[in-house]
Amino acid sequence: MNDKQNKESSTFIPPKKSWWEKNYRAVIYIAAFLAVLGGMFSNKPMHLNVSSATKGLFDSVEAIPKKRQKTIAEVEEKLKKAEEKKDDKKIRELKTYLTRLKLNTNGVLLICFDFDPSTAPELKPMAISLLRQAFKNGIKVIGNVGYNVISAQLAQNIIENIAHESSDKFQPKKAGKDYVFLGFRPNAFMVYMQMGESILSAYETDYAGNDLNTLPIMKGVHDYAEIEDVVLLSGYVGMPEIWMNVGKTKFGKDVGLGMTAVSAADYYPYIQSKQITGLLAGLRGAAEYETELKSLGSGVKGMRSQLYAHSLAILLIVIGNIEFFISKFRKKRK
Amino acid sequence: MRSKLPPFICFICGIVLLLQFFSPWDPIEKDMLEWVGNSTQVVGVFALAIGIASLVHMHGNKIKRKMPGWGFSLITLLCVVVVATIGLIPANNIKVKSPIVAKTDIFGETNLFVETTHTLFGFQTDSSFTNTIVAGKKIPVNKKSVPMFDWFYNYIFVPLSATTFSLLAFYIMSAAYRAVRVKSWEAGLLLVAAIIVLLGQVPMEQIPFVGKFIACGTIKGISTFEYLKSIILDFPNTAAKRGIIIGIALGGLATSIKIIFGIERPYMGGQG
Repeated sequence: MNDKQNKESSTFIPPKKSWWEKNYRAVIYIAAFLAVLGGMFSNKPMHLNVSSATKGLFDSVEAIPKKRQKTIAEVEEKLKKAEEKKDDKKIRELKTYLTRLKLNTNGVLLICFDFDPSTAPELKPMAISLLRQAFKNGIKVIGNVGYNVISAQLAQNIIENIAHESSDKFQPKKAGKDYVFLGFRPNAFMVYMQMGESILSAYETDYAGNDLNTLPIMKGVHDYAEIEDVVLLSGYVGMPEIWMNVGKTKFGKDVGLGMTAVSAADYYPYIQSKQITGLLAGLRGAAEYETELKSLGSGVKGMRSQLYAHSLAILLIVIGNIEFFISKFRKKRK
Repeated sequence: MRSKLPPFICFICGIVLLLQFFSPWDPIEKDMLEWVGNSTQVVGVFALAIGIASLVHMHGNKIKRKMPGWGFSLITLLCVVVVATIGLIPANNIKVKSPIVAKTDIFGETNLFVETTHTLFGFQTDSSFTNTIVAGKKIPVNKKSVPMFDWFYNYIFVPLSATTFSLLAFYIMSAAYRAVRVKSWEAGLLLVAAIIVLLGQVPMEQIPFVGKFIACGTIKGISTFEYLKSIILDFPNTAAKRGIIIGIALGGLATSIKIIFGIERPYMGGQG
């Protein structure tokens, strides 16, 4: 029996493959390469509709100076009442808080850079736009990394580059005065909880090793009370939940998200429930943000490559299905 | 003792952290949190040490026994030593100066001079600014001191990591042709939703010649597919996801209670 089987298998001639069957992979790969490359060389401006999710985040960051002024006015009102009541302990607390608030009058934005080089093409344009928007409005920026130490150097380079841009709108920003990058600490949940009590207890130094006590920006920031908005740019699923639990639920901060396109769909429920101020979904979200900011960058530029790549993917799905139905029809006829 | 002590520690830690989250009492809310936070960071550092020890042990054995691919192991260990050394040793004065270059970013927002020096050790780029007068105009000069660590990260790690991930695009294209087939009506439904989201994610009307035909006009001022995409994401997707989130949260809560009370002991390696 075995001999018979061996004989049969040795005489088995596989069906002859057509040229397409042999080479379809190479053709698809070349087509994909050309689709992406084609988009890169096109300089034609792209018009994009800005979604409400993107607009929500943009407006929230834009309103940071107003939020700070509102907080200052509220604290001053509380201080007046405390002075009327002659509550010395509260007066002291409120005066310290007010002094800190007045040190950064345009407010403070915390950006969490949780992405690595693999997800940077989608998330880096978001980071650049956010930093440009913050610096343009005189908002102080605190940066950190919560998930992976690998992201720290990338984040540091992005902040440095944008801070050193100069334009008619803003002058180069100084490390320690206009921005600070805290770097990475393990166990994000505990670190963010600690930051809610005191940032200095979670981070003693910045990424460069400078003592946080000596940095002018940190004289006006003790904990989340002096931070208006938190924006998380994450290539990792699970990190937004930590920020929503800690930043939003426990400390009542406005949290915005920037996610890769594949994981963005998971976070739409949080927009409806208003747990997040807005959501930037992948490269499209980054491009929309750049459009809204009127500072076009690699987000909008990358959209053309994405446009051709998506068109190719749809075309391939259609061709594959036509082929599938033809072969099914032929089998039925046989 | 060996089977009773870990569940006891787990119980104490669980209850303390639970109390910490809800308690407004300073010794628990602040002091305890700081202590626990610092402890977890110490544990994190030990995890890093264990990781390095494991890496050295595994690759060291491969090299010692000359197992297939031992050369790659040697390169791995060499990279660990070199990158860690240049990053850990503080920046020194070994500097190579490169000429001043003018950098203008692609959208013309920036126009500044960059003066770069390369240092061997350290991991932090130092930057400072001075102003220079060019043709009667004040232009900032960015004086950068870039260490080798930064160079390794930017020009070796970043491109390699991005390249590996970008290969996914080619596999996805191939899979779109081979695997995304309407084999049942459920698969058909999934395919229709996927195509709508794919079409809605990009401005199809801007494809030359055929774009306007594919885009199928507009609804409420936005392109048809973009509108349909937002309907899919805002309603069926959100409803399903919300159900999943609530399910996961309840499951997580039940598992946490089981772990705190020692009913489930995953930290015992399936024993106890």
